[in-house]
Order: sequence, then structure tokens, then C-alpha cells
Amino acid sequence: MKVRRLVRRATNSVSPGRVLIYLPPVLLCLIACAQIYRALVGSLSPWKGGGFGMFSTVDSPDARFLRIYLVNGAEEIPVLVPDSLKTLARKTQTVPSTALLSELAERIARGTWEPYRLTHPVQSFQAVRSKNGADAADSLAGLADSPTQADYYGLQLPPESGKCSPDGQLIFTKLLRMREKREPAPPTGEAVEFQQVRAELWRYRFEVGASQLKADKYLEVTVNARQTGNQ
Amino acid sequence: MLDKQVISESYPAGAGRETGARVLPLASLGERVARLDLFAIMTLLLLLLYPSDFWYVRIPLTVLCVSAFVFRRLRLDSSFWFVVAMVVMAGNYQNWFLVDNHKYLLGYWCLSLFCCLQTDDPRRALAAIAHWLIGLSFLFAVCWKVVSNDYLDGTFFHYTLLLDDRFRAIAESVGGMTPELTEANRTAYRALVNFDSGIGAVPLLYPKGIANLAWLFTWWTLLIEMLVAAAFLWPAGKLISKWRDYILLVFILSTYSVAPVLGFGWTLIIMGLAQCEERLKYVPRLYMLAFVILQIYNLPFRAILAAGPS
Repeated sequence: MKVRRLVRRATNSVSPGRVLIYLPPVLLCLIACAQIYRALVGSLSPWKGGGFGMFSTVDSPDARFLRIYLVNGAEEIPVLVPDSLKTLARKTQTVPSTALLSELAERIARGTWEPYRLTHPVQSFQAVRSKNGADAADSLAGLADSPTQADYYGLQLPPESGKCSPDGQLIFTKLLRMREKREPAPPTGEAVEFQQVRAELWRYRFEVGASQLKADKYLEVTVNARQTGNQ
Repeated sequence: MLDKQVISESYPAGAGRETGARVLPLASLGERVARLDLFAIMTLLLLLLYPSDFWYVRIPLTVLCVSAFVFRRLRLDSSFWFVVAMVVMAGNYQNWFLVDNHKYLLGYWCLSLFCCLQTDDPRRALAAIAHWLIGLSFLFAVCWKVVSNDYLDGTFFHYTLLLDDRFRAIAESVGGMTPELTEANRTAYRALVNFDSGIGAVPLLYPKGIANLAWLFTWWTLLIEMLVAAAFLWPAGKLISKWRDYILLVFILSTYSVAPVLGFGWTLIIMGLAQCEERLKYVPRLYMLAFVILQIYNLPFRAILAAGPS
């Protein structure tokens, strides 16, 4: 009973406002301590998470980078992280884990990958104007591709690396992009086949003595492309 | 707690409490309210000029800030600052792996404005909170630099001077880097991190001056941050804490001249101004001056000098 009376007297004598002024500093300490713990024990980059570790180490999220490959038999095609997965990729770089890297790889494996196309605005516009209806759409979709050697702003691509469609699209057969949702399906046979996706997270450090940036593989996962998205 | 707690600047001296208003100490009431209003305005400017990258934070904050500029009463309303703090902190929580540390500090600061308006003397309460926030954030920054395995040996600033765009001007003007060396290093960097790269290491080129500059930056940054932490965490009015405003101003003016993270700089200036003792006549003016100088730092000096007189 005495304890209860003491507590009641203490709470009555301290105004809520007086207690509240400690809230922001206490919150800062709690979050910073949690960040330090996660960075020292786990894999969190000291730069992020509210622990004020910026400008203290080379090991920022930018120093952790991804290498992702579509694996088709013996062939491995490196691919860029698509825009729709940039946030997940950034999270994987900031606080790497096998689970996050696997999720990234799986979402990449679920996607449909096709050759990157560079569209010449004037030629595309002229192609649309000169054709009607389905013909124009087919042309823009690349169905009327000709196997001619590409010549785009003077850029000459060897036939095995690129080709040019009659409407002025330059198609890079070795530079792939993932088709985003709501985009029209790629021309038949243009989606790239692959059986697996391998995602690697690398981390570089600066070696002053050797005057070099040296990268080491930090994590690697491989997932099967069992979904029907890729053909 | 969130019921109307508005400070009324038109409160008559000697008047008792009225519904919806708080009594401030009678002496200098108007001045204190004006100062709180100033901190509120500076915070609103900070929120508007350095907005969040996320639309669901940026748009509500823009609406709130513009409303507070139009309706003066909102600026001293605790409920308003509670909503602002929650929007900022919810954005930070949602994107904790993306946001920079000064966005966390900004969230704590908006929460501080709410908390101080719950007390009988908001001005004094805000000063106390600002004092702690500055001291603690610098303490953690120093801790990270000490425990880091590539800071004290100069590696971090060595790397930064070679590859961080924000340090390019000083690396070339003081460190002896040339545009050709900078470009060679950037090419090497891109070759390493490009998505189709199979390279494991790339050399970086630099003159001897970079090593000296990296050493200077390493120890200057650590020293000034330790001084700020000590000055703000030491008991008020004793030893180094007497000099805390000047030390913080030296930090702000030296650091952000090189790395213009202006959002962070402005947050520190507002907090510095809020904790500044009222008896110091010129120090608040120095903080205000620093508030403007940081914007001048942002001028494209290289382009202006390169353009020359027309």
C-alpha cells in the first residue's frame, strides 16, 4: 500500500509536459542503439537506420552492389535490376540477407525478359503515320523486324548483338529488360528463355596501400525459374 | 493531451488561464512567443525546401506547412506539430533503410515542438530538448567514427576524396587531383560496379596531396564532432559548455562548406538557435547568418568562375 501511495504521489507531482520533454532524446537514443546493434552484429550499413554513422565508413549501401544473371544452360546473361524492384534492391544493399536476396531473385525469375529497344522518336512517329491500324502496331512491336545490320545515330552493331526494325527501333539482343506490368506482351519468340536466376551481392572496400577498390562476394542465391512468365 | 493548447501572443499580462491558452512567464512573454514563432517558421521552411523523396510524406507536409504559413495560430499549436511529427516519422519508419540520418533528427525536432508546447514554459523546454538532441546525435556520430574499422586510419576520407562528387572541388583545388585523374577513377569505379562487370578490383589514381588532405579531414572531423558532443553534454555553464554555440557554428560553417548537406545544416542551426541562451545578444544573429550562408555555399561557384565576366 505504501508503494502504491508513493507512486501516486510521484506521478501527481510530475506533470506530463515535464516527462514529455525527455521523449525526443530518449527516442533518439533507443533508435541509435538499435541501429548500432544491428550494424555491429548484423549486416546493416552504418550509414542508414538513424544511428548517425554516416561519413564514418566506406561501407555505405552504394558500396554493396548487385550482379544478377539469367542462367540458360551454360549461358549466363547479366541483367539490370528493373525499376519496379529498385526499392527491394536498395533494401537488400542496405541490410543484406539471404531472404531479401532470394526474394529479389524470385521476383526477377517471375518476370518476362526481352531485348532492350531504343526507339528513335522521329522514325517511330513516321512509321505510325505512314501505316494504318494493325500494321503500325505490328511495326512498333517489332514484328516487321528485318535482319539488317543496325545503324542508329551512326551506331553500328554487329548482327549477333543487335538489329534494327524498319520503324527505327534498335533492338539490343544481349541487353535485356524485364517487362513491367501493364506493358503489352513482347513479340512472339522474343522473350528470353532461362532456367535459373543467380543473384550476387558484392561489397567493395578501399585498400589504401594497394590503391585499389577491391570487391568481394558477400551473398549469393540461385533460384529456379519455374514460373510460366518466361518462355 | 492533444486538446487545444495554443499559446496566445495577445495574452494580457497578469491575466489568468483561459480555455485553450497557456500562461507563459509574464516577463518577456511577447518576445518568447515571437522566438517560438521564429523556430516554427524556420522549421516550416526546412520542411518545405528540403522535402521528403516520398510523395505520401511530401504532399501532406506541403499542405500542412503552407497552412501554417497562412494561419499563424497553427504555428504555435501543439496538435499541428504532433501531426507534422507523425507524418515525418511515419515516412522514416516506412523507409528506414533509405532515409538519411538528418531526416530522423528532423522527426525528433518536430516531435520536440509538440512536446515543448505541453509545458508551462515551451521556450525553455525546447532549449533543453535541442540541447540533448545535438549532444546525443554528435555523441553517436563520434562513437561510429571510433568503432569503424576504416575511419581512423584515413581510409574513408581517402576514398571519399577520390570518388564522392561533393568532395571533387576540394580534392582538385587543394588535394592536387586533376580532372583527368578524377575521370580515370570514375571510369574504374563504373567498371567495377556495372551490372555486367566481372572485375574484382580496380586501381585508383591520386597524387600525394590527397593522403595529406584525407588525414586532415579525418582528424578535424573527429575533433570538431567530439568538441560539439562534449560541449552540449557537459553541464550547462561549465568549462567547454560555455563555448558550445561557437563550436557548433564552427562545425556547421566548416563541414557544410565542403559537403553541402543543407537539410542537416539547417536542422542543426534551428536547434542551435533554439537552445541558445537569451542573454547572448550576438549568437542568435550568428546562427541566422549561418542559416543564410549555407545557401550561399550552394551557389555553383565553379560555373560562375568559369563563365567569367560577360
